[in-house]
Amino acid sequence: MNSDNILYYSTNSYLSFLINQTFYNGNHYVWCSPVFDSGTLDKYDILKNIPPSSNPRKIYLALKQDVDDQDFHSSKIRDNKKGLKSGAAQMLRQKVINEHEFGIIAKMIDSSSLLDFRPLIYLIPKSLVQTKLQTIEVDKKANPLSIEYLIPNLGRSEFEIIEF
Amino acid sequence: MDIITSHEYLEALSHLSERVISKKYQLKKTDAAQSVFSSLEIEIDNRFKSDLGFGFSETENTTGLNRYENRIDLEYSKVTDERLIKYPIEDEITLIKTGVEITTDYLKTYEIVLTDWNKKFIKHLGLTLPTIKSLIHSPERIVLVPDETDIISNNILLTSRFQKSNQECTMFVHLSFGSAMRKKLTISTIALSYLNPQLALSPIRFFLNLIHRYGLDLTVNGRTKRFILKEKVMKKNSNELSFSFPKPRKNDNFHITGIIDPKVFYTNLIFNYGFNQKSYLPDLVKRKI
Repeated sequence: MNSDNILYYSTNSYLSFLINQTFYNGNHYVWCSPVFDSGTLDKYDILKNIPPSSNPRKIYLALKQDVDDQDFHSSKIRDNKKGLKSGAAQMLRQKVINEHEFGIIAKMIDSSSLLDFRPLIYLIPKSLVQTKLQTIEVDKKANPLSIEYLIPNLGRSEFEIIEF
Repeated sequence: MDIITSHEYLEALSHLSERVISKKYQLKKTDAAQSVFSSLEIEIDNRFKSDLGFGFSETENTTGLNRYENRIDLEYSKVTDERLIKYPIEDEITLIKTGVEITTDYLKTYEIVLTDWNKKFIKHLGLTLPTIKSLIHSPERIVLVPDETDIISNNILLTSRFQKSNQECTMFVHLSFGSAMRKKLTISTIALSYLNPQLALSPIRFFLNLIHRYGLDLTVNGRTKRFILKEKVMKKNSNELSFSFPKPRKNDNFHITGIIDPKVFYTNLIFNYGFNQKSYLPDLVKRKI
């Protein structure tokens, strides 16, 4: 199978999209994968090694299930909240936002409803982001062959959003 | 004793967050995650240790790291409630969630007019109405805040970037629909900013900062807020109102905008906020905004 991807895929919550778009100058901090669902790939495809926790399709479906089931104790939603708040603290450190804005973001997260965490898929054309991609560096990779990327400043014009 | 600012405290929490994330996902350590613990981080970690029974250095498994992370998360919320948020902001949050980005096509069929108080104010800003209209029609961003029940209650927030006195400047405008003049959009509030050009990318963000710095306290249903998106206020009796907005005294220079729509037994308040031009203008002249 040809492993040259045209797109990168990233699953994010609606709340994450809203916060990034409103407060972080439209720059989105995303983890992304060169394949939508590694489970459908041939067993010899190197991208098959992407673990479920980084598989955009699996993340999407799991989050959607929790929202649809109204699972108020969802660990994925809890992790998303923690990640968003710690992301806001980083933005404050970097002077992208001020303290009042951090307060608004933290309050938004704390008072969010389940629907705020409905998942979105970002479709990111490779040609637009090749120079921005950062390879995730791990000390001890659970799977040394897994391939994941980070885009710390994805612009709004550099991706499309789909839901299903 | 040194007084620790909210910023310093949040920075220390953020460093601890980064250490936890590095450890949890076994990532290559960032500069912050590798750095020596500051005295404030040590103080916070000791407090977490007395709550959790363990500190950061004793977190080895996922459960421990998750519990430590939860404790940091709780601390962020505590700092927010105790130090950062000075007035209720539920309506601001709803504004962020309901605002929809639109294009300039939406404005084409409307005439743009100024309120009386803004006719004088724009002279202080060094702007003319034709310039303002031109900037309104070439905005950086426009956001519609819709009211599904009544188009008259729709509001538009927009930002536009331009050069003024050889400096990059952002203009913010709040446009509202008049009650009887459906084909006119009224400039309810106009403001400029030189400091942070990124505010041009988000009219909602500009608006939130504006009312935070130059807004007025509005009392409604026993609570004091800076912004009322939509609220119904029951009348206690035919004379007594359950809301109060500041009234200007001599030398004051502010306006309260929005709809106050009295009915028989209640009053509708829609998109109300105050803008203190008297405190805003000196900051603008000194380029503090």
